[in-house]
Amino acid sequence: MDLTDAYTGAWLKGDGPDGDIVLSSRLRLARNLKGFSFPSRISAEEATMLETLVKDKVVDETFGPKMSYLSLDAVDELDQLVLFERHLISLEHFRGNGCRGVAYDENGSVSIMINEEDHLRIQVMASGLALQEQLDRISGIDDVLAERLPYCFDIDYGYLTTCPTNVGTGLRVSVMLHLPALVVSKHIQKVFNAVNKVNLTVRGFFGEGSQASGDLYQISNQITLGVSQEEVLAELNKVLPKIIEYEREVRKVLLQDDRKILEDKVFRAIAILRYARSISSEEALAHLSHVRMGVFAGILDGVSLDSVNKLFLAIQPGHLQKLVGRDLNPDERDVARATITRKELGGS
Amino acid sequence: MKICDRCKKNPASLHLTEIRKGKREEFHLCDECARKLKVPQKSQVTVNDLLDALMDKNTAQSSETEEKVKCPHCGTTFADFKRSGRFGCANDYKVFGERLGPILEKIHGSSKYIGKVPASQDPEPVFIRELLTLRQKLKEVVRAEEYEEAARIRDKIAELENQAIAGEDQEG
Repeated sequence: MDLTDAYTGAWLKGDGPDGDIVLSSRLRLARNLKGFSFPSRISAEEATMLETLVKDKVVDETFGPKMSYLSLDAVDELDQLVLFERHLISLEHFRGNGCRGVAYDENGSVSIMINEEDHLRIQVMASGLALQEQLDRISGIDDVLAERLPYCFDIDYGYLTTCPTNVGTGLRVSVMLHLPALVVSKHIQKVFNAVNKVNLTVRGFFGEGSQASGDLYQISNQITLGVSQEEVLAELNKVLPKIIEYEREVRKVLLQDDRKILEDKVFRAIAILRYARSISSEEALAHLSHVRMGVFAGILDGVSLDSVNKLFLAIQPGHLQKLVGRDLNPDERDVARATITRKELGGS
Repeated sequence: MKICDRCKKNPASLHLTEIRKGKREEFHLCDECARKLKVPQKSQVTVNDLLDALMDKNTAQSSETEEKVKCPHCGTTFADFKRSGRFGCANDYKVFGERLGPILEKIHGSSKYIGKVPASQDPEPVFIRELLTLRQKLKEVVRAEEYEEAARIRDKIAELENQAIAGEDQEG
């Protein structure tokens, strides 16, 4: 995968089911190997041995040329930031030190982190909402690896993990939703309440403990012990369609009852994005959110969903600097962001 | 008349009996100790509520034992685990044993696994699958309020779990 090309990442295509509301779904499994201490206690020698073992078994023997491998200590910080922005590595992995790496496929839809909080963090991502398909996919990868690597497993606790919050299935499912109508109509709190009732969490765009930018919300399961993988999916598949329908309904109502106000918001947003000379990522995300809604509402012709989705990634600091080709300070980033946005959206 | 398990002085007014792992276990507390331990004032106090309360008290005494409970493989103590929220290795789960139950209950509302089993398990005894299926069944049956059936399943589960422990001890 060419890291200078901001436009890879199949999950960004926006062509998945319910793609008007659901940006992406991500599933990850936490696994540890017998015979090694967990990453919390592992020695440098053990960590290196483990990386070699997994790299051989996973990348070379099992998936062959379909997967690339990067040992993060050898990757410069900017490229690591790009990997993080593409969700191929987590914040913990980006900030970590010591022997650790990531294997990923050319679509950026499968990644396997080595020596993150657990020995292995297997991850699959896709556009839209297709949880069963994704579960089958990640389970398949998990089964193949289980034949080659000795997983730590216990009949009472399930898959053993470094953190008790992950023990059991080790499965975390996260779905990213775009909910501008619910936010603007102030119904978003109802979503939070409904979600918390069924042991799911809601978080903002940038993951752990952040404010929601661009009206993007990530819904994940919390419980990994005492519920099977299928049950987790069943719970999500019960609640998510309701939220999706709710957002669609409110978008429709806004279009009918407040069309002028909605149009004004959308056109102001596209105008700023097409002509601003300097723009912060907060502001860019807020406007992109309205533009995205405008595209789906049929208000904006001549703006492609593809462009909007690409920009969600391109405006982030790592991608920005990669596209420009050098490190930038915050002011320079704001200018570069505006330039790239204008170009992509047909401004001047 | 039962005396309080904690102060060993006052007559107990709170009694709890539970069948765990096929054994009958009883806990008794007097009013004063129940209040001091902040045992929740609800009609249905669970064993785990009591264990929580009992574990949290006597911090001086328990932090000593927590330092002593140490994994021989990685050196992590239970105190380390409580501080960092992380295990050091797979063996910690065995070493910290009974102390984990209440913690996992708090996090997940459960301390028993239900789900898939990796292929690489040593010739997977038939009863691992059976055990997991029974746990699933138990959940469903309790939800449907079929308590007689639940009791029957719970006994069967206890039997299988004991078998599993016996098998493990043999492997040593």
